[in-house]
Amino acid sequence: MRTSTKGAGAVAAAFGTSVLASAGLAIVYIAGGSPQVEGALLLVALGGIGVGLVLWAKRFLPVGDDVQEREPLPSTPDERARASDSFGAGADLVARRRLLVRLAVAALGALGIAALFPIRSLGRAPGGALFHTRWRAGVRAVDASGTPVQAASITTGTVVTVFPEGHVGAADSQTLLIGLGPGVYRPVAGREDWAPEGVVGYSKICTHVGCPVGLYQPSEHLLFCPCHQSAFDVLAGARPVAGPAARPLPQLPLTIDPAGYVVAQGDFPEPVGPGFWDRGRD
Amino acid sequence: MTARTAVFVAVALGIATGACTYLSDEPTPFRPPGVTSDVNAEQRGLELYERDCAWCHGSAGEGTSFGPDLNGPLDGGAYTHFMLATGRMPLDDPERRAAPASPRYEVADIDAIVRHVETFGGTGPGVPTPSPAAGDLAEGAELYLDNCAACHSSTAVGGALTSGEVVPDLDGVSPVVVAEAMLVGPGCPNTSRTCGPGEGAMPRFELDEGSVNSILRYIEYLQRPDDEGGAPIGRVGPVAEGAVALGVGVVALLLLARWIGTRTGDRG
Amino acid sequence: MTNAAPGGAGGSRSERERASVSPPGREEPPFQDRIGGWLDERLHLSRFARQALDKVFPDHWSFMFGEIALYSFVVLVLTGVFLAFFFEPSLTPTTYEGPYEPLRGLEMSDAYASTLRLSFEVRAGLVMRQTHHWAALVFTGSIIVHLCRVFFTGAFRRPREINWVIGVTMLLLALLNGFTGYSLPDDLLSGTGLRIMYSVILSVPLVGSWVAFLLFGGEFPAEQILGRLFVLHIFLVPVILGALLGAHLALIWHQKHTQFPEPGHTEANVVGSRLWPTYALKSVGLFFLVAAVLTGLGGLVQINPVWLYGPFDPSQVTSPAQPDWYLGWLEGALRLFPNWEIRAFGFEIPEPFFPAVLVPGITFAVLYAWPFLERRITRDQAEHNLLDRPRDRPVRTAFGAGTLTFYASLFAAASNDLVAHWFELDIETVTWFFRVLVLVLPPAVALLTFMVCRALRDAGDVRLTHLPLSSVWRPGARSTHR
Repeated sequence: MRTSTKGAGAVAAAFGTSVLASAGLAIVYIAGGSPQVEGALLLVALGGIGVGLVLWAKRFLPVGDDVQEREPLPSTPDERARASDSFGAGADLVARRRLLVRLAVAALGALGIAALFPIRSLGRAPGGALFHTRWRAGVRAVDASGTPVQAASITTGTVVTVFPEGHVGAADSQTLLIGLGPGVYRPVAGREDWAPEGVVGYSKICTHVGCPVGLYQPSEHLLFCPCHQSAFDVLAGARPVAGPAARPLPQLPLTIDPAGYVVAQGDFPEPVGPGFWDRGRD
Repeated sequence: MTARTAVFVAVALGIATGACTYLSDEPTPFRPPGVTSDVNAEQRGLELYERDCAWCHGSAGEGTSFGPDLNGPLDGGAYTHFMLATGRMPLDDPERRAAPASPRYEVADIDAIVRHVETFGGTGPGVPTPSPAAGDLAEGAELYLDNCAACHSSTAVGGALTSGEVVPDLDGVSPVVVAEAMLVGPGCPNTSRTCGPGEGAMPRFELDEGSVNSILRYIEYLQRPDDEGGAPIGRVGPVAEGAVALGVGVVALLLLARWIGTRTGDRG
Repeated sequence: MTNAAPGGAGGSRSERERASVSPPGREEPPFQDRIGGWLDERLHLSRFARQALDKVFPDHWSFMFGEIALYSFVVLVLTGVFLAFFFEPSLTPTTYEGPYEPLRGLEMSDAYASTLRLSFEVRAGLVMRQTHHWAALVFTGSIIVHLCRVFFTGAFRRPREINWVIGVTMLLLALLNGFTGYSLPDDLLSGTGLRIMYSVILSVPLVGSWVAFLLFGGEFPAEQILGRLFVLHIFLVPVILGALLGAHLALIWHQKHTQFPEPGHTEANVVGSRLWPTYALKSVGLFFLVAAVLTGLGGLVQINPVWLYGPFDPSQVTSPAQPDWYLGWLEGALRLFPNWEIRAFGFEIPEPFFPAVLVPGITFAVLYAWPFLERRITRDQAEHNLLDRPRDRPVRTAFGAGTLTFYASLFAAASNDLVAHWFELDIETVTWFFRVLVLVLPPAVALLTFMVCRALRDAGDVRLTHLPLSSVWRPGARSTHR
């Protein structure tokens, strides 16, 4: 252990710089604050103390040659026997009354089970919530500002996010309207009239883990999900062609009302979004 | 001032003057005062087009085996200006995909070529004249997050698409160019096939003037955002933050621990 | 030395009182004696205090990794308390009227608005918020480094299996708190992550939709989720973490720390520095250095600029979209796992179940079971207070290195879209590259590690950097180079 003052200068400098930095922090705070200056000063203020303490320990304190013996962790057989006796004696007294013990266990068990019931208050049963959205037959498609969408505005290569009228922002009902242009739509069997005038509608919720499928690439007619890079072929019923999604995006049956607005013919034919255990049952 | 200092100053001044002269713009030719239009622009446009573009696009914009025609439903001022101003055209190699680069021409020359291409008869939109200052910043933020952020990123750093397409970042892109991209939907993947409207890599967004101005104003903000928190480390989110936390934070602390603690063999 | 009354019983109360105060004419006892005396009279502290102050701690620098994690946790709690006074854990919509112009007039949740307020209007708020987030990233990072040190040196063996189990639990809690924490501001990026978590829970067979509806309070996005995340994040998890931390430290204290096999170190002793003054000063110094690095990052390097991401809207998304780094392995698994689903009789096990429930489930099952697994495999029931050098256990070290490589590859795969963007590659190609990497690299690294360990062991006491490459390929050959 050295007691000389050599090396004390560095420690003193560290602490001294820290003091200045702390004073600076107070000033900066009073002056209105600035995150970068605050961060830099905190670095110096805290770092100065840290460096000072470590230098102090390394230069002036015992290096660390101390030795201590370990006591054996397992207790001696004698101690163990005595502990076992202490427990055993009491346990015998209690366990002798078999019926009471069983009743006590039953009481605690029943209470434990009963105590689990309030967990049910945390949420409602899924019920049919995952099987339906807000789309119904005859409901108009509106954009995020609530304005009904004219079919003529969905030109080739246009993509718009829409909701059922009256339910703007309903997360499960978010739908993409895509302009395919005339003659391009290749319907899945039974869906020939679902895309009037080249306007096709698909659920925007990725069937992988539910991110909005926000990227559309008209040159490839692909919808692309940014989360895990699933790609859906818009011309083939939004069938997944790349990435981890295993099911197509559900298609919304569309029609155009006499005023030219895009209108749904009904809800999606299957549950939207990611899969769940009983999704195949309705 | 000693003689040595004087010599030093003189040499420094000499170097500075020489550098300034060498690096300065070429002297501009004389124009009579008050002349604003470049009466030879038409000639210049034709010259440049014949020199650089006609090989692939044909002298009358009719297209060749090397490149598409320039008189289709998408072609016009907007598309042409977009391609030139973002350096996507001219292509050194017609087999290669057009990608953003430094523009090859001066602004005046780009305008001249655009005007020349417009004479080919394409029916696409003309060069738009947006005014971002008239836009509403908050409305622009909302519209940008709704329409643009998914591909271009909420921080405008761009991203990846399928089939090797890359979404460009919006750094340094002028409002006119952004407005053109929204009208035209650029990114035609096949260099020898003409893309019709809405067949590019980017969808088309035909929004009203106010919305366009607002989006442009917000994009201008994104090009120089308030980085209140400090060094923005690329604005790509948790990937960069994780790299810094591990590569800088944890590594620094491991090194500090090595300084503080003992090492095997420190003791005799 | 406290001036306690001689003997214990006997003497009147006033006599005893007088005896416990220094007689007049002598100097005032030192400060620590006055405080110590006051406490000792009430708590019978002296023997414990002496034992504690004299206790020897091995002070190899790699034993400080756990302390880095501990002190990061302390910074998290301190900054967290500050943040909790300002944050509003509610999804109630409000209109923003604060100084950040691009969002003024827009509708957002109270949670998001209060985060903006913290960042732009509360003095020192942004530094606190950013320090808190950097501390979370460093906390989890140092836990992993510490876990690796414990694993590769075999410190989890008897008698320290309990501490290993506690440690793995703390890792799990740290991951959970990190996730709940960065989801609190209700911004577009973290809200997308919350949606992913909801869907992953949905994918659990039989009970998935029930558990998701119970935890969230309904269909996504549910109103109650933010308040629940808040309760988890500032109360439930920190309390359990704190208790486990206490138990973890108490066990180290009681069982004494392990040490490397060096001259003078045996299974029956501890060699190092005494707690007071050396170890205490070094450790407290480390705390200040950890705090310095975290606050330095907190002010100088921007993290989680939620104002650029915008408020969460379930029909919007931004890319690139990654979670915080410590969940990168899960994200990578989600991106790489092929679209295989199991469907029969109207029931299904959706694809996300495999990478996002099964993979972490197996991961933590193996982590928890490791000390017991190794004991069974090596048939080693003995108590170990001396550590292994990694080279002395080539199989364990190789297995650990291969496993680390596996998770590191998954982690790297989480940035496949950034790789595709930066290097202008097709994203499908990049994804396939990572799929191959994840399957091929770990066994290759494991094999190489095994060979290097064996070569190091056979070459005697040689540093890794001085190992001739040829000896790696020729097992058993003693090196002639020195």
